[in-house]
Amino acid sequence: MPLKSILRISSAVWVAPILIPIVLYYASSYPPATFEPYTLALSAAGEFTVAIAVPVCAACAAWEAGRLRRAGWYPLPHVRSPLAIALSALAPVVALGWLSITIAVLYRLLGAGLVAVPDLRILAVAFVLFVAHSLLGFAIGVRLPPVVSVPSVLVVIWCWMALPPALEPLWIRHLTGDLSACCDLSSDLAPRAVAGSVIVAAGLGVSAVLLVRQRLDLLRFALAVASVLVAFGLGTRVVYGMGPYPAVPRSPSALVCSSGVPRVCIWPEHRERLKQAERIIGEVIQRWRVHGIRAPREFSEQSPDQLPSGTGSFMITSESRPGDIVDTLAYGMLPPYPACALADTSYYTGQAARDNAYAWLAYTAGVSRDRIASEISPGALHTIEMVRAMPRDSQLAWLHRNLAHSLDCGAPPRLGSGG
Amino acid sequence: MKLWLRVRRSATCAATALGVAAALFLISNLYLPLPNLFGGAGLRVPVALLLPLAVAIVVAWGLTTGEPLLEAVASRPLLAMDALYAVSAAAFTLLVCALVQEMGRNGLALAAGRNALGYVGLALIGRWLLGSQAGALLPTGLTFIVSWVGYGAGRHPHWWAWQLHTTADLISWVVALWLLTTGAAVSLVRARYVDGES
Repeated sequence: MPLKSILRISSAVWVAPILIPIVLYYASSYPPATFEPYTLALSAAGEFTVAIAVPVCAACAAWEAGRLRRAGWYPLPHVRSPLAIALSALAPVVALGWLSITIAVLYRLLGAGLVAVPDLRILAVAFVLFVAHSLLGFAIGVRLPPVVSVPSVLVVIWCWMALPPALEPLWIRHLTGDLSACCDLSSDLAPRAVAGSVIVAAGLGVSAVLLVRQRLDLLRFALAVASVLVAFGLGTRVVYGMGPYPAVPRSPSALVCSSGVPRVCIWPEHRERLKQAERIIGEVIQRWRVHGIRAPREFSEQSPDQLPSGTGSFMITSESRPGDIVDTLAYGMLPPYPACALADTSYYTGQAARDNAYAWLAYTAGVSRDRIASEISPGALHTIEMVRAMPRDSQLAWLHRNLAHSLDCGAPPRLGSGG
Repeated sequence: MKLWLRVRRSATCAATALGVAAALFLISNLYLPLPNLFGGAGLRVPVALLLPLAVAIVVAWGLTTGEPLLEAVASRPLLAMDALYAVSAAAFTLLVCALVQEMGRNGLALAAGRNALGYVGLALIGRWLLGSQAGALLPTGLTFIVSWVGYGAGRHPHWWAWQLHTTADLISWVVALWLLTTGAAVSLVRARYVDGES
């Protein structure tokens, strides 16, 4: 179709001045999974607006089909296949949708001061969503009058895009293509979430391709329904058991490491802080060594549950001050919480011991008294001030006792007078 | 009269209203979780308040299925009958929703009934403004936009987001009734052009 005709008649052109500002506004307001300059997280936050743009584009597609239907042109014999006709009518609609998401993603990246290529996996999923749902809207539009098809497609696809996060089990949400909850620095986009979304969208697309035929027979309709069911079945199989986030641990090969001792590894987004982190960690290790604490020879910013054994954990952000880094080093020396603290299997009794150990490690690492009082507890500060008056070996024995008690689980306290 | 009712899809409309009531009966706490752009906790747009859009769509559809040129020269007052049909459909939906509320199955059923009044009114106004084929786009499009921007920071709907309020809000009832009355009134004026389709 000539560009001049597209500009004159396509509903996408009429909708664009409304849709793009709304999408931009939403994309700029939606909080990403991390406020660090992480291309993936910012791209995903921009992609959140598919929940707005996909239903609108599908409704536009239904309108385009309705135009051809009302003109009495669609049922006539054509040289081109129905799919070619549909794609020709839908090109401006899909272009509008994908462009709006791409603009939103770029806006997020530039807003965070990043001049970078957006995460192409996110944009590819968005493209598949736009093509599939627009085709579906078109297929409905050639069967029903616009007065029914356009609003119905808008509302039904909107509900499909927005409703799953309110439903359980949690993995249902990974079938819609909304990847906006991805990802903090130590995580990457889950291939299963991408695959689940693409499979379901492809099923909807195949079903639409079957339905856009000029003459619809029962077999074709049955195949269309079957393709949707098969896609949902396969998609469910792929995402089954996933949690609320479309994320997997990020590959450690992305880490940027120093060459000295201690060896410090951080994510490339914090590359410019590597020297500072190395210096601070070296100083803290020295202080702990004076108190008899053996610190690991390697520290990494990886998620603690992904760390190789013998590697210490610390956290850093673009806003971290040196005191924050020292604090996270002390916290990283604590053992992981026991299962009873994370589940309701039994009662966690080790919190006070954990606070004491944390306070002692932070104090000896150089964290200020005020910070310990405010961030851990005034009681823990009081305790470690008394412990610090003890001989070094006694302090070490006290620390190890508290570390061991921090794993304690016991019986819950009995409340009330009964029993 | 029977033919007119059949052409207007009155049976489909009644079935849709009953379907909305049945859906309200079954879903008591289903909502669309949306982020709150104005700060605070995320939004929860009750699906119950969106369901009556189906009635507005079917009413708008029924009003397009006649033969406009023939109807333009009909001896019966078809415009008035159409307006009465739309108002009756909205009132019937309100009635069945009120019954669901009375049965205690869904605390938002009456609000959904109120929304049926407003949505049908908007569909009639949309028909008059945008043409008969685009009539139902007005309630649907407005509700789509209002759901995203109609809540304030404290998860409370703005006064103008009438379709998001619970039944206790008097203004929302006034607005819904006003929209239905206005829609019925503009339906009495023949459109400048006809674009019906069966």
